[in-house]
Amino acid sequence: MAGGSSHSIAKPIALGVLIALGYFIAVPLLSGGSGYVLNVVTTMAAVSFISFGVWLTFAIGRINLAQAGFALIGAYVTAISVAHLGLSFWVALPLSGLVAAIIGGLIGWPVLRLKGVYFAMITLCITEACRLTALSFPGITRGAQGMVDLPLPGDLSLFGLVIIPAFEKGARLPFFYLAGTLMMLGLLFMWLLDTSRVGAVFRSLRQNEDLASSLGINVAKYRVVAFMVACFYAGVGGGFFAALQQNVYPTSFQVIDSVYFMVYCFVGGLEFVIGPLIGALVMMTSFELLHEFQRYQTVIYSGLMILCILLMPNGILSVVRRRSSKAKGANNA
Amino acid sequence: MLEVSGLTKVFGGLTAVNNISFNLSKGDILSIIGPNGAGKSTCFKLIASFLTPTAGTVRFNGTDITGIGPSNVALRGIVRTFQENTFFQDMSVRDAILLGHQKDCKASLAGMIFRTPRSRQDNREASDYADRVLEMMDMQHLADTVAGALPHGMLRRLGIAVALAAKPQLLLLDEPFAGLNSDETKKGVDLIRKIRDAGITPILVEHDMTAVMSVSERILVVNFGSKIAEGTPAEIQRNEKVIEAYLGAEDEEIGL
Ligand SMILES: Nc1ncnc2c1ncn2[C@@H]1O[C@H](COP(=O)(O)OP(=O)(O)OP(=O)(O)O)[C@@H](O)[C@H]1O
Ligand SMILES: [Mg+2]
Repeated sequence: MAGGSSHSIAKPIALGVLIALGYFIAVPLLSGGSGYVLNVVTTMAAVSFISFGVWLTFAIGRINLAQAGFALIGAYVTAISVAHLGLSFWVALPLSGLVAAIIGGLIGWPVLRLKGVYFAMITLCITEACRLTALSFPGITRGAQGMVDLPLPGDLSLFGLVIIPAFEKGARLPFFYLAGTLMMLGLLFMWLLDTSRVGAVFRSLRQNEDLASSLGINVAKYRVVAFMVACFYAGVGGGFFAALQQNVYPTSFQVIDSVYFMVYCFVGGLEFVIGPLIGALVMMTSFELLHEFQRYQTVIYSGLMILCILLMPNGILSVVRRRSSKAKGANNA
Repeated sequence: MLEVSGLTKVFGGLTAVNNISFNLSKGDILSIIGPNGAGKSTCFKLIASFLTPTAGTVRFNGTDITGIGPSNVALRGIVRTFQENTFFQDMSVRDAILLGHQKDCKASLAGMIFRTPRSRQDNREASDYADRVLEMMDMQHLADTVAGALPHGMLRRLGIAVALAAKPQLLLLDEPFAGLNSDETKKGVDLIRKIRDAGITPILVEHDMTAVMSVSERILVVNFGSKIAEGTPAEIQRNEKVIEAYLGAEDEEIGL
C-alpha cells in the first residue's frame, strides 16, 4: 500500500519493540558470556545495518556495489574525528554517515543516470577508488599502515547526565547493544520509508522511470535521495566497525564486502525490508557453523550460497510467504 | 492554451518533425494524424519535454516550457500517455493511480516517511481522488489487480487512468485505441468526450480514422515531419494534399 496511516503503523512498532527487548535480553543470556558468540552477533547486526542501504538501492532498481566504499569513508571519518580532531565518538558516528551521504549525493547525481550492469560496474569502481584514495593520502590516513589503536567510545552525557557510560577495554556487551540498536533503528526507518509514499515512488522508479517522470515525479531527485540514505547507512556502519576494531586500513572494506552486502539482500529476499537481516543471519551463521571443516569452509560456504540462490531466486523470505499464502488458500477452500 | 511554433527535431540526418506550428484552446479535441513514421509521437515527446527540440518553442498558458524536462511539464499540467503499453508491472491498478497523484502531495519527504498530519491528509485526498478516477474509467472491479496481469485493452485504459490521476489540464494521448476492437474503441471515444467534459483538454494521435473523424473537432495532418493540413474533419476529408498523402492506402482509411 502506498498510504498507511498512523494506527496501521502502531501495532507493528509495538511488536518490534517487544522483539528488540527480547533480543537484547536473550542473546547475552544464551551466549553464556561467550565472547565469540557475542562477537558474531554484533558483527551480524552491523553488517545487516550496512546491507539495508544496498537493499534500498535495489528498491529503485540499481545494483549498488559502492557500499563498502562508503563504509570505508565512514570508518575513516570516525577514525580521524576521534584520533586527530578529538571529537567524541558519539558525534563522529552520525558525522560519518553525513559525510558519506554528502559524498554519495555528489557522486550519485551523475552516476545514477546509469542502469543495470553499467551502474554496477561504476559503483564497483567507486569502492576500489575509495581504497586507493585511502592509500594515496598517508598524511591523513597513514596509508597502508592503517590507523591503529583508536580510542574506545567515551561516555555520552547530556547536561551532566551520563546516558551511555564509556566503553571499557575488552568489554563486548556495549558493542553488542550499540550494533543491535543501530540494526533496529535502521530497520525501523527502512520499514517506515518502504511503507510510505516515498517507498511507492521508489518502487515506481524501479519499474518505469519514464512513466514516473511523465506523472511529474522528479526522478533524479528521488534517485539521489535513495542513494544518499544508502550511503548514510554505509557511513554509520563503517564508523561503527572502526570503533569496534579500534583500527582502519584501506582494506577494511573492499569490493568483496560490497559483494557480500549485495548477496545478503539476495539471499534474504529483495521484496522484504527485513531481507538483508535474514540474509546476513543465515549466511553468517552457516559460515560460523562450517568452521569445523577448516580449510574447506569457504568452498562449502560458496557452494551453499550458490545453491541458495538457485533454489530460492527470490530469497528465503519468498519461500516463507509462498507457504503462508498456500496455507491461507487451503483455509479458504 | 497551447502554442506550438516552428517545432523541429532532427535525429542525425533525419528530420522527424519539421517546422510544425499550431495553437490549441481549452476544451478543443484535436487529433494529429499521418502515416507511420510521420513524426506524430516525436511531436508529443517534444511537447512533453521527453525530447529537446532542435528548433521551435512550446508555450503553455503563456509561458515558454520548451525543454524544461518531463516532470516539470507534468507539474505545469501537461501529461502524456505512451504508444506502447507502459505501466508499473508489480503495482495494483489502485496503487498506480495513487502514484499518479504524487505530484499534488504537499508533505515533505520526511513528513511522508514519519506520517505527519499533513501527509495523512495527502493520503486521504489521494485515496478519494483515486476512487473518482477508478469510477470515471469504470475500473473499480480491477482496483486490486496487479497491472502485469491485465489484458491489453485494460492496459490501454490503465495508461489513461494513471495520467488522469496526475490531474492534467492537457492530456496527450498517443494512440489510445491501438489494438482495441470496435466495441472497446467506441467506449474509448465516449471516454475522450467524458474527459473533455471534465475540463481536461485532450490531444490524440490515432490511426483509427472512424474514431478520429467522430471525436475530433480539429485535425492536424502530418506527413514526413511536416504539417500538410489542418481543419475540421469534413475539411480534412476533402483536402487534396491529405488524399495524396494517403494515396496507396485504402480510401476508407481516411473515411472517404
Ligand atoms: N530516438 C530516435 N532516434 C532516431 N530516430 C528516431 C527516434 N525516434 C523516432 N525516430 C524516427 O523519427 C521518425 C518519426 O517517428 P515517430 O515515432 O514520431 O513516428 P509516428 O508518426 O509516431 O509513427 P507511428 O504511427 O508508427 O507511431 C521515424 O522515422 C523514426 O524512425
Ligand atoms: Mg507513434
